Amino acid sequence: MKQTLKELKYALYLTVHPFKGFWDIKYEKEGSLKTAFILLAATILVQIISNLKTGYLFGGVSINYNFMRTVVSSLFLFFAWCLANWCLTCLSDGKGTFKDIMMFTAYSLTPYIILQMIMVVVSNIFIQREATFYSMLGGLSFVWVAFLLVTGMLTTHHFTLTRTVVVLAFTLVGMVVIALLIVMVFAMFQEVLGFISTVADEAIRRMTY
Amino acid sequence: MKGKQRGLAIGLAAALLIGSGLETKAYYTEESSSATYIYGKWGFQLESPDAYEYSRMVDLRTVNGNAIGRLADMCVTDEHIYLLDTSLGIIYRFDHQMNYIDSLQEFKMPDGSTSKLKKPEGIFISASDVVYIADTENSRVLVSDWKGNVSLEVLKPENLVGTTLESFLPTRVVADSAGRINVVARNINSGLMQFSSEGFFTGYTGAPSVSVDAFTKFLRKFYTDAQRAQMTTYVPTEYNNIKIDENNFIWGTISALSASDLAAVVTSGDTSGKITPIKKLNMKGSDVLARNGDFPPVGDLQWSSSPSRIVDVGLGPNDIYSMLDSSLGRIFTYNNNGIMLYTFGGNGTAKGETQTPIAIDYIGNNIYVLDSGLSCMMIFEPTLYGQLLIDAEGYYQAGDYDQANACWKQVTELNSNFSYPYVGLGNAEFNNGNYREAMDYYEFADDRASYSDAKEKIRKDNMSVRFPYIVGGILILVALFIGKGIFVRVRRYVRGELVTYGGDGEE
Repeated sequence: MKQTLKELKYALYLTVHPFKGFWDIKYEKEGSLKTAFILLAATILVQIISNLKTGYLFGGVSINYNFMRTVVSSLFLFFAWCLANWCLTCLSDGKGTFKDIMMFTAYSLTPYIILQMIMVVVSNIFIQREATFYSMLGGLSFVWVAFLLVTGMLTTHHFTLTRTVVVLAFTLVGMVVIALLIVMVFAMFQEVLGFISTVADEAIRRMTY
Repeated sequence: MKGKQRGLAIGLAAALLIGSGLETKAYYTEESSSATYIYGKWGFQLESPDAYEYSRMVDLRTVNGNAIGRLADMCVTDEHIYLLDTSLGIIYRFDHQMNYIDSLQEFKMPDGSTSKLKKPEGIFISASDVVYIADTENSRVLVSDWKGNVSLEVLKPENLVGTTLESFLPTRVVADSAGRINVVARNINSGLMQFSSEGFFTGYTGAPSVSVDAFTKFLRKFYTDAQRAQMTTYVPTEYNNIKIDENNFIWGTISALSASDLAAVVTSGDTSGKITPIKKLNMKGSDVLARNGDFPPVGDLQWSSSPSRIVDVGLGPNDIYSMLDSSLGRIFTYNNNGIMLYTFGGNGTAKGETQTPIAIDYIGNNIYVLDSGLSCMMIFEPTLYGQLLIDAEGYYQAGDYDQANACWKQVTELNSNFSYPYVGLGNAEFNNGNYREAMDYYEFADDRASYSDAKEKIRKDNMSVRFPYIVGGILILVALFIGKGIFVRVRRYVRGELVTYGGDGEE
């Protein structure tokens, strides 16, 4: 418990000292997979809170919000990213294991968690004229997370910056491919099930008439 | 096997019937055509309680025992209703209860000769009972008194520019309180023709703005003369009717609009008024109609074959105005902000339905619709619901927010589909300083801009109360922080430790 708290505190330190931070969580036992999953869970939780509690002027609540959709889509994005990254870094001499990848990805989400909480609060205070500041916060969290992801990849895999950027771009493509594959598998399963049910239907008809 | 096929056929037929039944239900407003409706924030039709109900019909196939021809125009003054018979060239005068009084047919020209009208299409009677007639096929506008003594005959102006037309065919005429005459003439699309009170042509006003984008300008460089000449015929609009209100604003309606242009206006929520079936022109000829609703006033937002064909506008109490659509017989009513209050009426054969509505006017709160196909005058009276909406407008404009609030509360009880009264309630609460309640109403009506304003007020109020606490809190925190540093250093000094500055002595 105490160890986890220390690691979570270290995640905060990592957001402003990314190079040292990412090195330490991989090699100096300053981070763990358990903490990574806590951060991932926190990200999803914060997203749900943001969907439910963002002020009316900055989105408001849609009447038929289903939190499972947030959970599933976040988990899908996270694991698709990790998988695609793992596949590509393996091919391009990356030094990170799948565990390392999951860790640096989850730790990169820390600024998002903090800034999103702030955004939820200020969305209930700000008025329409201050919408710029609100969107600025959103932009800041995006840029920060992107920067941490790049740094994390660079440190974890011992990449140069150019290679990181290239692999990053390919990782995004890889995520799309994974999504397509999943859709295709579902579609195919549907076809197969449809075929089986048709055959069964036909068989039953033949036998009964 | 046969039986099975029949069963299948019956099933299919039933499915089709149910399907078609569903379809007719979805488009129910086109079937039961006179039901009242409004449009919601997203442009879908929503049901509404009836705002007006059919009161009675005055048969005008015979007037004073004589068969009449085709009615073409109506003009309402403080005491009378004037109807224009275009095929016989007679103007009939009625009182507000549609009792026939007398008619005007023969005119004494200034030179002593007598003259008759030939297919006149428009009349206007000013507040001082001067009769203006657009005597179309005689190519003239007559200004006369009710005894038929013509004081002015306006012929085709010699200095007419902007058209190559040989004939001058005035179709509608209005005059402002200073006697200036505005004329709509057939095939002139440069706007309204303006004449001074002495009958001199002074120019065009309210011309539809034509904007040419840079790309078209560039293309024009490569066009042949013939192509260029063809382009000018695309200048869009021609007024089909004009009215003038007591403040000398001219209301013009335009029906020659392309369906795709109107659809673009609806989907983009374009409130610039570049493409619009209605304009409110000031003395300078610029359009000052307020278009502050979710959609500009264009009549129906969704249509199956063609958009609404607006042929007339009735100017009602409390700056409400109603546009008359001749194709479906709808009456679209908006307030002075351009927010649709209700739409009712329809073409059909049922009681209270029109066939060829051509003119609309308000007398008090009652709506009079002139139908040239049926040769009759339809009279509609406001229901409780319609009366509440009209009253609320009046109270709100007069600044009587409590009364307006009371009306709008009742409106919301009768119609929860309608977001506008919630904005009204919100405004009333806002003006009374109850910002928290105003915010609730605004959120209900999904009016973010007003919600934001109310929130700002609340924040400001809160700030004046909380500001000392916030500043005090910050000061206390700073004091504690400094105090801690001093305390630590003092303790170290007391304990005899070395006091270092800038080092990491605390670690």
